[in-house]
Amino acid sequence: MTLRSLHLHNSEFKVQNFNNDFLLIHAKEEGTLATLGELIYEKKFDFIDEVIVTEREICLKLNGLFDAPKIDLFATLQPSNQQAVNTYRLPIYFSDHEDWQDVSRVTGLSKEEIIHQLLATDFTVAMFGFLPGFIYLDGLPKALHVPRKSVPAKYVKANSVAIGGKYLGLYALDSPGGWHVIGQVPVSILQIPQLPPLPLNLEDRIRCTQITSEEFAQINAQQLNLIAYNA
Amino acid sequence: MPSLEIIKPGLLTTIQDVGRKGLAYYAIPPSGTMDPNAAKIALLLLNLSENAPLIECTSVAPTIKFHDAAQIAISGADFQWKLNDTPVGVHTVVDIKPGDILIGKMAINGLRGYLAIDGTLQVDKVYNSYATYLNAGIGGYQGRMLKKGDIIEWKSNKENSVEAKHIPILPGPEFALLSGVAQRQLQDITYTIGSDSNRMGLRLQGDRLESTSYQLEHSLPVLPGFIQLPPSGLPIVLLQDGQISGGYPRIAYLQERHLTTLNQIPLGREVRFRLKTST
Repeated sequence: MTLRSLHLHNSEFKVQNFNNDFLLIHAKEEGTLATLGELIYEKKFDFIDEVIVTEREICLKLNGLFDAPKIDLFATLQPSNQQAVNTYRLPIYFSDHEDWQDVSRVTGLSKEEIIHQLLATDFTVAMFGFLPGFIYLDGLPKALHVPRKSVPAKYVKANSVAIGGKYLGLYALDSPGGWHVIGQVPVSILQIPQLPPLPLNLEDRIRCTQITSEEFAQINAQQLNLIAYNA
Repeated sequence: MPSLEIIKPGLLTTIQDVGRKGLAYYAIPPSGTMDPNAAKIALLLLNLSENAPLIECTSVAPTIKFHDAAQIAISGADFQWKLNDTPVGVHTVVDIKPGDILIGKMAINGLRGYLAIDGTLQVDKVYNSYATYLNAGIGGYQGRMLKKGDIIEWKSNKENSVEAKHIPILPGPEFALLSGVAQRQLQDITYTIGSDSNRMGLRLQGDRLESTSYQLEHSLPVLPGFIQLPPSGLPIVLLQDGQISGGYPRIAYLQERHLTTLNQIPLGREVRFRLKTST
């Protein structure tokens, strides 16, 4: 593994090269990483096969066209225009999922207290990742942080809302998962085969709202996506 | 080093690869295989890189004596190949014993054929390519056609029989979370491929691996071939349908060609890893 630094638009980044197989990029200051990741993705460099942008790290999967001096090309990228930030309501039915036991035990708070705090929080779309449509929401109050499960559950139902470490997350697909499930959303997020496959942008804001099981069934029957629900 | 000897050279037998690209600016042509698709088939049959050098035959096949054991693959036009009088088809992997003689005749159904050898051919690389360019006398075997008596050597890719079963891995981003003991254990533990593996991930059963942490503060990127260590202490190798981010330490990773090998090992079989420090 080799290490070097990179300067772009007055921000400093640290680039780790793992044997020309992949690069990891970290930012010295928070917030600048997503912009760099987007610029690299949009540029469609021929020596990069995959770009994965997370809140704290960018991973670039390299191919045979890469050599070390190519890293300098990142410093020539020009910033694009900032996108507008939208705010969406996310309707959640806080079901009686078995994971609530762990969540209450770890936080020492009742279900009602936890829901109260969630509804009072402004969440930010921090990253897309894990599986298609999975959304990481930033802003979870520290009191509600719950570590991931030691053995991931084999099955988490699509449109489950869950807590994983410092994030609130939304599973858009049935999948295995290591986060603690606290509720269900009656609207869909994924819009495959459109690209991008979901209507949200990084930095968009999410406000959670509480719905009853009757309201859940009602909205679910309308088969809305998140945008149509908010319209 | 294992080797072969050219007994009869054939009509136009050269060492080629994908060619040297981008040098026409300096009046240097690309050279390289005349039928890259056929060449690629021979290389891929042996799990070699598509950029590796191989022997190109034209119209009349050479006669080749193998001084050492080898695995070869033949592709392209059918030269009616025979190994010690036994017919050999194209597009198959052929096991060669020391002293075996490979003989071909005229090409039928085409003009050019390819012969790849499992190993790293010891031939000349010029401008980043092994391709023989006859006019300038560069690349391949002394920049010329093969002739009687030429000896071509190769470095075997097969390591000794014990290590051959060991899948090479490289340190991952969170390798340092493992203690010195655990770093060695990663190579010493014999793992069984769990029956609960799927296209997302391969779960390994075996002794628990100790890490100073099993949870990362943030969800970080992962790629196929990354080895995660969840709190169970039993590593998970992410595969082709794997998630693209996760919160478990990424202790090591497999390069693509070694992931290919691992992906062909049946459930319930045993595997061991061998830690390389770099490529």
